[in-house]
Amino acid sequence: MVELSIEPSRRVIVHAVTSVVDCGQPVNLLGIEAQVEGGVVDALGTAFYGEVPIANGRAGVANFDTYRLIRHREAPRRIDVFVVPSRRSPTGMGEIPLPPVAPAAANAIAALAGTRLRQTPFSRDGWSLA
Amino acid sequence: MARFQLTINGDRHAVDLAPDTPLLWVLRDTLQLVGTKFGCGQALCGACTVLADGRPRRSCTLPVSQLGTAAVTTIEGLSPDGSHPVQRAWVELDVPQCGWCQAGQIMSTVALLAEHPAPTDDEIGTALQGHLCRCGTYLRIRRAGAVQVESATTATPGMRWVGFTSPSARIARTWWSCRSSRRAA
Repeated sequence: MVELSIEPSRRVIVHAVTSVVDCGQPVNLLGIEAQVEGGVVDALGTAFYGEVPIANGRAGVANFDTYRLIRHREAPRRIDVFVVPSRRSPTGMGEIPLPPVAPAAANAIAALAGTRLRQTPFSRDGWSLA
Repeated sequence: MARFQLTINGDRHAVDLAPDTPLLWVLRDTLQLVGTKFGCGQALCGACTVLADGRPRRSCTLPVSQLGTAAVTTIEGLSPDGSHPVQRAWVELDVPQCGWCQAGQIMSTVALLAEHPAPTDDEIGTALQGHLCRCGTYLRIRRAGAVQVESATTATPGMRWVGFTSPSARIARTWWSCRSSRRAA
């Protein structure tokens, strides 16, 4: 779940993200928490900015001046991580926090602004993080 | 080629180099101080940050000829064994994931805390805004950066003396205490 507010000029402040993960038997809770936080932060950056245009068989971006990453102050002010108790075999924890974030953020924007975002990055439609 | 006298982590080094050699490559290639990382090469990401006279500088775009007499501190210079309070806070909170940007993040945090002993979350974020992290460790970095500095007279258990060989006496005089609870922020 993504909690956000919308400032003028389609600038979005992400106040809190709640992420629940079932990764089987938790092995390293601190590691799980860190992976989920990182996945959520990267997911927001990817949703809003992540784009590598390919032109004439080449990547159209070459460095961080043209490939935009999420920055410190754009990250959510708070991320709450919940781990579902489980005795099943442990699973990988690297990617699972990332996919739900873009649709959750788009849904929150739709709830507030009435605009349905149908493609990423959201920056194409003039949205950015604040 | 030209001869330069450098002070790195308190040690004097004489090096023969082209004057436009970026400090980053002097550190990594000439002096084998590989804790400082190459990220973007254009001062866009902050991974290569070192301290010159206590101030954060992007070593990838800083020609050795422009360093002058500034004393340089790299991540290796914070402590011989990772015991600098900021490093310990990083370990305690399990901040790094891939780790590439972390030396730069730590160096800027050290510089910030020397200037602003008790920064708010926003102040840490602003000071580190130029540091990119693909792993998304920003929240954890800010939590680890939220160490509180107290004066020696109000020392309490858990406080640690910063003993690293810094070019800045102001830094070396400072007492820190790490907020140990990772839930505190």
